[in-house]
Amino acid sequence: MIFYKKFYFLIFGVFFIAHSVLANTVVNDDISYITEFATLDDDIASASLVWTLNSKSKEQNRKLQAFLAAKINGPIGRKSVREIIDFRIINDINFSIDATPNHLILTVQSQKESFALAASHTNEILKNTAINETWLKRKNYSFRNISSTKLRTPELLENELISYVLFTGSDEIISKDSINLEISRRPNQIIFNARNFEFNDITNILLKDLPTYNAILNDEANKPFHQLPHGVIHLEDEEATETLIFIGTVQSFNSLIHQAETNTLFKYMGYGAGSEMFRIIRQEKRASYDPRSHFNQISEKLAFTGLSATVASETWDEIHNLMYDIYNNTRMGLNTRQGLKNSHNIVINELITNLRKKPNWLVKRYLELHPDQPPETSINLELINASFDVSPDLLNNKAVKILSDPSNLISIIIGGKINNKIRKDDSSYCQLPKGKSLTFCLEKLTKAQDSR
Amino acid sequence: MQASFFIASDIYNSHLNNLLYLDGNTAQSFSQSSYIAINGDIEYTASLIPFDGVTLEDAYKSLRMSIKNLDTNNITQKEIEIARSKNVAYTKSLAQSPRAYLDFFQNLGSDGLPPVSPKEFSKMIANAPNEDILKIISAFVADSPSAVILAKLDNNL
Repeated sequence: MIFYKKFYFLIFGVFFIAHSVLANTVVNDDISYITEFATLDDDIASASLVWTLNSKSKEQNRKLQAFLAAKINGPIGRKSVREIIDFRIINDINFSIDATPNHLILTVQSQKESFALAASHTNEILKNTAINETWLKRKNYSFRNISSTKLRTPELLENELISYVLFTGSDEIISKDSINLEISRRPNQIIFNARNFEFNDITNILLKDLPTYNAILNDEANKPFHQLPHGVIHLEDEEATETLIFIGTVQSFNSLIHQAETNTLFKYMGYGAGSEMFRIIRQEKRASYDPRSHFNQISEKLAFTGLSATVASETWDEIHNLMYDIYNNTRMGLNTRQGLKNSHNIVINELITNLRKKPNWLVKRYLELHPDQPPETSINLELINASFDVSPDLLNNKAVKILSDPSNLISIIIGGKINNKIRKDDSSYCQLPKGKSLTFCLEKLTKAQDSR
Repeated sequence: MQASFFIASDIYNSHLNNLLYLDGNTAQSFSQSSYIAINGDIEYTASLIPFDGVTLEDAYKSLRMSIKNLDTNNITQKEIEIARSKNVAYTKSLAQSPRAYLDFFQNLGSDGLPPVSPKEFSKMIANAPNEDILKIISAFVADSPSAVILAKLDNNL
C-alpha cells in the first residue's frame, strides 16, 4: 500500500515542489518500516537508518554515537581505513550520525547513480561487528562532553542547556558489548529521501543478513523533559577578559503557526547583519563580534530560543540590559515592517535549505511525529505549511503574545564581576561555583522555584 | 600544472595521514593544507592534536620524523590513479551546489591559478602526466624552512 501526499509552495514566483511518499510496506517481517520522502536536491539520494534506542542520559547518548562513529570510521576485516576512505571519496558517499533521546540515526548520502553501491557499503559496515579499539577511543574522545563554563562558546552553552532539558534519567554505564549487540540488529525504521528515484532494491541491500530482534537497552520509557528555570546564573571570573551572555528559554508552542511566528521574531532579533543584535550590539556599540539569536527545534512544538553575545568583561551588565531591551522592544511590537518581512523570508529560506540539503532535519521532524512506525494514513508535516502561513504584517500586534514574558527567561553570564543590582534572592539568582557544571544552578533554581 | 598539483598534494597528504592518523595512534585529529604561494613556492601546513596518552613533544617528534622520512620513491602507479579518481570525483561533486562551484574557483584562485570550469578541470586531471606529479611530490619532500607552533591548554577540557 502506498500513499502520496504533495505540497506545492509558491516562493518568489517560483514553484517549489516537495512531495512525501509514504509506503508502509513491511519488509519480510515486522521489524523495519520504510518511509520515503522526495525533497532533496535532484542528484542526491539518502537513506537514514533509525534504531529506536532510549538514552537516559546525555552521556549514554554520546557513547552510542561514538560507538557508531567508530564502526563507520574503523577498518572492516582486511580492508584498511585508507582503502575505505578512498572508496568513499571516489564514489562520493557520505555518512552522518545523529541522535535524539529516543533514536540513533545513521544517514548515508550519495549521488543517485552510485546509491546502490553506497547501500551495499553501508550493509558491509553494519555487518562488521569487530570494533577497532583505537577508533573507539578516538571517537569517544571526539564525542566527549566539553563544558561551556570552560570553553565559553554560545554553541556549547546551547548544547549543554538542550541536553539538560532532554536527558533527564540517571547515567548508568552501558557496556560496549551491549551497544554492539544493539547496533548489530536491523534498524527499526528506514527513511529514504530522493526525487524521481526508485528505492525498490535498496532496502534489501541495506538489510541483507542483519539479525532481527527487539531492542534490549533501556526499553523502558524516558522520563519527561526538564524545564529551564528563570532568573540569573552567574559564573564569576574576574580574570576573564571576555564574558559570555545568554538570555533565553526553552519555549513550548500551542500551535505550529505560533512556532513559526516565534522563529520569525527571533530571526528579527538576531539572525545576520540585518538583525537588531547585529545592528545595535555589534555595529552601534562595537561591543561584540558574535551577537546572535538562537532558535533550535528540539522536540515537537518545543524549541530552544534566546539571544547571546560575547563581550568585553567590563561591559557585560550594560550589554545584558541592552539585550533585554531588544527582546522587550520586539515583544512590544516595535519592529519594522521590512525587517519582519525579511525575517520571514529567512525562515522560509532556511526551511527550503533544510528540505533540499539536510536529510537529517526532515528525519528528526518526522520522528517527532512518528517515533515508532509510520502512520496508517499520511504524514502531515504541518510545520511546512505553517511556516508559509505566517503574516509578517500581523506580527507587531501579536508579538506580546508570541514571545514569553521576560520574567520567564534565564540569564546565564559566564565570566565578569558580580553585579549587585541583579543579585536577588536565592529563588532567582544562583552564583555558580567554579568547577561546577551549569546543572548545579539549574537544579538549585528549579528546586527553589518549585517550592514557591 | 594545477591538476598535477592537486593530485600530488593528495598523495602527499594521504601518506602522512596514514602514518599519523589512520594506521597510527599519534593523532586524535590531523589536518593538512597545501597551496602554491605567489612566488611559486609550495606552502604546506599541518595541524595535529595528539591522541590520548601521547605527549605534545612525542607527537611533534612523530610529525617531524614522518615528514622527514617520507619515502616517495615507491609511489605506485595504482596510488597515482586512485588520487586521480578522487580528484575527478571532487570535480563531479561541484555540480551539486553553486556554493561548491564558487569554492572551487576560490580554491584555484588561492593557488594563483587561472579559473577553469570543473568539467575542463576534470579533463586536466585525467591528462596530468605522472612525471609532473612526481616532480611536485619531490618538491613537497625537499628540505625547506618551517615554522612550528606548539600549544597546550592550561586546564583539562
